[in-house]
Amino acid sequence: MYLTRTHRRVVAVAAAVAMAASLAACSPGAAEPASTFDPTAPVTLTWWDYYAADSAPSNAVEALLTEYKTEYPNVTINREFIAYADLKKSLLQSAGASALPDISIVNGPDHQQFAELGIAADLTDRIAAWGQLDQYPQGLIDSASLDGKIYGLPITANCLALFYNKDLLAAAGVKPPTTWQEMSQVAAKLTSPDHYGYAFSAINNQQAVFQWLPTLWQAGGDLTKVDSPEAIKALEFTASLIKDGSVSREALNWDQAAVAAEFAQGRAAMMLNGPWQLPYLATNAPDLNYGVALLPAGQDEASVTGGENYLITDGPNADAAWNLIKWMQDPKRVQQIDDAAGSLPTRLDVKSGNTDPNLAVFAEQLKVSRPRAYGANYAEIADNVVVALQSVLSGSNTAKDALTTAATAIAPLLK
Amino acid sequence: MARPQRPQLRRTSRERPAWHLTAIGIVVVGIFLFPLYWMVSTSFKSPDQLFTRPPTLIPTEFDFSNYLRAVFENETMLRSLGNSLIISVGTSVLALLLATPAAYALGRLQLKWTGLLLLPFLVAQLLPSINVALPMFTLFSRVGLVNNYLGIILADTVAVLPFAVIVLRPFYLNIPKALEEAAAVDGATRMQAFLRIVLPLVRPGLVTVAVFTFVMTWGEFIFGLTLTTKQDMQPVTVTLNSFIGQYGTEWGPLMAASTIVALPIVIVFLVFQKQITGGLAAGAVKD
Amino acid sequence: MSASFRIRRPAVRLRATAGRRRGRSALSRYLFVAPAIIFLLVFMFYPIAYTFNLSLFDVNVGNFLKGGAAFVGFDNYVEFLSSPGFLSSLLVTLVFTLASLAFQHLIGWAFALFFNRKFPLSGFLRAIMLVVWVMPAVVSASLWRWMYSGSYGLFNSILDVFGIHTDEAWLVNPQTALIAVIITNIWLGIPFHMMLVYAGLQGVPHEVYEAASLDGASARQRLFGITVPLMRPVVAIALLLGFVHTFKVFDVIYVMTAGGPAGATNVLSIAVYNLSFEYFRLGDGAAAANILLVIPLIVSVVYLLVRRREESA
Repeated sequence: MYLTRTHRRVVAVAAAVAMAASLAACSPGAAEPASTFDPTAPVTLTWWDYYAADSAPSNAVEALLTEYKTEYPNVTINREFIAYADLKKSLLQSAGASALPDISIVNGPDHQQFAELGIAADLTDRIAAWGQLDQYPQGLIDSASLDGKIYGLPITANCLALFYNKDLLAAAGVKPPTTWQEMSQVAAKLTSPDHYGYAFSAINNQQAVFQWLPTLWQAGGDLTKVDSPEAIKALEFTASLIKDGSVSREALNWDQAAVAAEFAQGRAAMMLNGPWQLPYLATNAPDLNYGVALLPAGQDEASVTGGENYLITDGPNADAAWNLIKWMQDPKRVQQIDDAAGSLPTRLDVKSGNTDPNLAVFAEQLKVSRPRAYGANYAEIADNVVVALQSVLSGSNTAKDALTTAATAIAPLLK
Repeated sequence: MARPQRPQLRRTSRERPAWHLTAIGIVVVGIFLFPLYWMVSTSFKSPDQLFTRPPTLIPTEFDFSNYLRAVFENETMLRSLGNSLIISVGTSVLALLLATPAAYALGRLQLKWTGLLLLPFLVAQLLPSINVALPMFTLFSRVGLVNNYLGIILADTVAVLPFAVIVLRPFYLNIPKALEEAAAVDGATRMQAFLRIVLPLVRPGLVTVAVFTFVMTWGEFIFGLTLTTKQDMQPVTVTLNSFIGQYGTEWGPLMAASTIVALPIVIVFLVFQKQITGGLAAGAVKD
Repeated sequence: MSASFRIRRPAVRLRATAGRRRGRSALSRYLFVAPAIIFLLVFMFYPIAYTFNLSLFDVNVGNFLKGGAAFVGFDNYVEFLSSPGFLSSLLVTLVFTLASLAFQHLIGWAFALFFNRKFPLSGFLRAIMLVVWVMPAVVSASLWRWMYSGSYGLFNSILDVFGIHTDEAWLVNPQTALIAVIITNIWLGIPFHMMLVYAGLQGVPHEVYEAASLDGASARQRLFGITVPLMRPVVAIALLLGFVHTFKVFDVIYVMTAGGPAGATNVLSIAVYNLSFEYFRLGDGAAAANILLVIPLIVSVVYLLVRRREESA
């Protein structure tokens, strides 16, 4: 008898959940640009991002929002800080409560998952009407797209390149490597009792995959077939750098911030990292004589793009939110944010205001950089790759076996 | 007749006190607790004292900067400490309100269904928090209890209530029935008898439960992790975990934060030591 | 003086009115336990029912909010149970639980026997060991992460003393991570087992020992012939509680390794967390959660059945 009561209750609960869910979200793609949108109508927009208070990007955003409000005094903007680690949960929770923010800044690789979740507004038509899509690098747009529809625009962009310590290289009489073979040799030559030749991140989370993708792509491999001979070659190459002793085994413990710390303190002669480390190095290692070079080529040249996108929530405020985002895409304003965030220009018609010559190298590297656009299940795909990476880099598995296992797990996750 | 030899398991206190055992005890317990000392000593070390090998056992100079950085000048951490305090006290209060009458009913009153009613409390002890976390997340999202003190208090109470009832019940068993019967004769209702006679007698049990639930809730992690999505609502356990990401290679500040998180528990433990040991043994052994 | 009269009389009175009282106050009796039961029904059983329901549907990131998830019966369970991830996760969980439990209990016994002797400060020393047990898991986990760190961790420095020089970062090597986490968990669990065993030892009557001594039994014979058999119920409950608590452990592992490296410490509870909160594969996560619940449940039921049989025997 107790069970039947529960059973009935369960069915009622399921119905309630389904009902609540259908009320909570609109289906994607249903909203058409409303011709009745009045930009002077009063509206309150909520804005979420993970730029810490008083950081340069946060201040840049604040300044721009204030400027927007003077132009559109009918708009109230509530900006809220959500820590990056909490963003997914926050969006999920607010979706369930029908209290989604109007605009959020999301990390590129997560964007497709949010689009699949049904909370992102389809901006394809609005962007077409706006007509400036051709000013954006395709890779950046790809990360915000799903099934041919566009669900956002980039706010920051970066990629990975090779930092090198000029003094240590000069002392060893070597130049930055341009091929894989040179990489192995140079890294080995730069390794001494005082410092390792090279440093990268192989930590137990997505950062390790972000750091390894350039190598994978340079070998001609891809995550869609991660047990291909090219992929195996890529992983074996990465592992060889550790095996040779050119890279510390602590790499499995380092995130990109830790890698930068190693480089800044002269414990690594070269490192794989991104332009957001330029401000860090300027503050923490102002006397370090370093440069940035393009990543060595394997079979191809390649790097990986990172960065964040604007995501507009599907809902009644979508048009007002789009108005704000459109306004933020003015090249001068884009430059303001990108310079503050240590980001590469997200638009082709924007030249960075940052005169650091190293940034120019990143801009050049961006030309051969690809986005992580593997669908809504990227988080799980990445976790499987991390398992393979860590087991091979720690020497407890072969590249072939580890990647075969990973490929089997990844296959159903690709769409 | 010769005096029976005393069993070796107990030294008679009439012989010399076994100081050699004390010495062994101090050494063994010292080794066991050494990691805790290590945590505190690391928290006072500056980076140059930390990154040495062999490590310095006693910090040569006491560097307070780790504490400033990780705790006292860190708004997130201070806020989290406040959150944990509110949540722990709130949960203890709620757990006591629910457990006190429940344990009375299950311990004293002849209920026909005592066995069956005890079952949920026993089953609850088996339940992994993670099983409850997701449904609570969806349920609380819809009623606005995420990022809310009340929400976490409710969730944490689920975790501690069964334990509270099970620990409290034996205290009621120890009260002679005659007292309540006397009160009944005087015309007191059950509730009056409970409040005026029984309750004061189980006060040691109530203190034990309050202490237990406070300690358990202070260290609670999963519900804090899943039911708060905003940093300013997180309990101190979740904040400490996020510190590991930030301060991962900065062990000094991390140990300082850990020490501060552990401190209230240590203080509560030292003050209420007897209640904790007594309550646990009673609850577990008298099953 | 008059109070004692009062106490003696009720026995007569009560018997006469007993029947009437019992019927009338049945409701008020249940009222005492009602708040707690209702609370648990809403906040514990409803979630269990919800999780069970969720596990029967193919709920994932695409339809969690939009609704329309297909009913798939026990497909999620079959899928999860037959996935390679499950078997390795189950194995990791079992190894972790059983290894921790065995050593926690044995070392707990050793401490309990030691403290059972009378010596100055024994009470104090015994009590402060419990500090480890009340410490928040996050604190202990971060502490041991520091101790296990590669170049400057305490663990490696101690090994230096024994002549073993290594820079191994124990938590980062898939081959050593599980052992490292088990050692930490053993440390965490010793006080609990010590306390249970010690309390149990207090319940062993001394006359039994005295009689055995008279018969000339050695200390060893007393331990294994008397103490251990008499302590069986305490050992049983300690092992049961220990198993149940350790099997569902989450905090310690999440903070120390988050299930890595390369899945070496990926216990079931972490798999459940990832499926639900990271990948949003909620149907699968719910199925995994139910499996996580079922195993300790079976163990507890077995324990109860065995005990009932013993008690009636």
